[in-house]
Amino acid sequence: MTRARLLLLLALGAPVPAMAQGVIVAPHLVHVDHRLRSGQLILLNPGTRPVEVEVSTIFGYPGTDSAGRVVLVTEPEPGPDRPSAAGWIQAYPRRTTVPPGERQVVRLLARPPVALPDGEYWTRIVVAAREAPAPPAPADSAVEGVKIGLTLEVRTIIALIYRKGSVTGGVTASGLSARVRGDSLDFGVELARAGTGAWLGMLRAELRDSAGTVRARDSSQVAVYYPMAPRYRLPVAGLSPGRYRLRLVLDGERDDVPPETRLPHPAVRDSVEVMIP
Amino acid sequence: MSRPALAVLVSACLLAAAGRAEAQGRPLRLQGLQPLNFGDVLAGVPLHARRTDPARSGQFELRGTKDQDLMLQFALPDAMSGPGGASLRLRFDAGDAGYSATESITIQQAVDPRSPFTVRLPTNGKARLFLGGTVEPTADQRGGDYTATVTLTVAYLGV
Repeated sequence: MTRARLLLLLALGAPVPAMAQGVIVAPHLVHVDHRLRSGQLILLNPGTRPVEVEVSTIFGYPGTDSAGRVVLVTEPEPGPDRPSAAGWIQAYPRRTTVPPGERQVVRLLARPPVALPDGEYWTRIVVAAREAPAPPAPADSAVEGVKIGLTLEVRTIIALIYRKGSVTGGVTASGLSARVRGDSLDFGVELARAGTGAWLGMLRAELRDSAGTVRARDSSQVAVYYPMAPRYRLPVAGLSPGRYRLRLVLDGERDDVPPETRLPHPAVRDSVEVMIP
Repeated sequence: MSRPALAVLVSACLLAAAGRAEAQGRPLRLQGLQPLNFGDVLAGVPLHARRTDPARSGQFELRGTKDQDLMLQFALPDAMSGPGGASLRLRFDAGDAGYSATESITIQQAVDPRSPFTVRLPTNGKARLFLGGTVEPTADQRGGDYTATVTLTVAYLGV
């Protein structure tokens, strides 16, 4: 190794300790009623340094990609056909610094257009948090190397639903299909809202053998804003070859959604026969 | 109502609201445990910090509600800014991130940090993310402090 190379040894072994953590954001779903026109978020900084927070809105909703994976679809400039509340939900304060170990309440105020039709309106709340900059370290002229500091910014995206007037719930399921791939049963279903409100519920899947015994089961939280076609997997390794039946139940029983905000509807069921080779 | 009584009432309402907010499942917590650390690097010699390297990988802890589906997305810099406009190249490849539902660095599911990916929190609601990457210093890399920001977005998919 040349002397020049030795001198250029980059002292990256002591990076600037700027690995921030985000704030805890609660709740993960905010409901705002047109009569009150306000909601709130709680931000908690569990760390040991102040965290700078900025709150913004964007129109978005869960959807599925071509492989059936659930993804967050965002539309920075939603069209007029979209029930977006992103343009008229405002956070106070929009920027703040949360001291270590403390909590901050952020109020979400709605200023909807006059003559807003009855219905449900949606937006995502984006809480961007980064550790407040540390005071610069004293210069060390003896060190010729390089120091790096990778700062972490954490963006937590939650949902806000604004309701005006009567809103109905419900979901439809169609096109249930399933096939074995390796040691899993891959199944998909097409879901769509049956009411005027987004459907927030549970998809419960059971695989029963010909005697009716449950051989595999799984459940997923699902949110349906627009038609989507999610795909899921159930483990089938070790199951005997033969006929089985995959049963789906979609209901609104979720303990993370306050009961007073759930939109009542009957459970939806579907099933399909499956051959395990 | 007197002003002190009103203040007490407002405080009580705020506390009650906070309790309701936190009652909707365990709030998600994303904590950086360890920064991506490249160790000693020679000028002109690229160095890859593997996501499975206990000392060098960036490590993040996720805590939330069991069976919660989340979308995670990194926004990764391709260079770090240094003194006098100098830059230090960074590169992230397809296998440079990993997700572990067991919080073990040795049991990771490789993910591409350049694209959004979805994870499901395990039954204890705790998981870890790991991040590796490559630093590519030039032969005449200038000394000094280099900084960049890694943004990690986490979105709930079930609401």
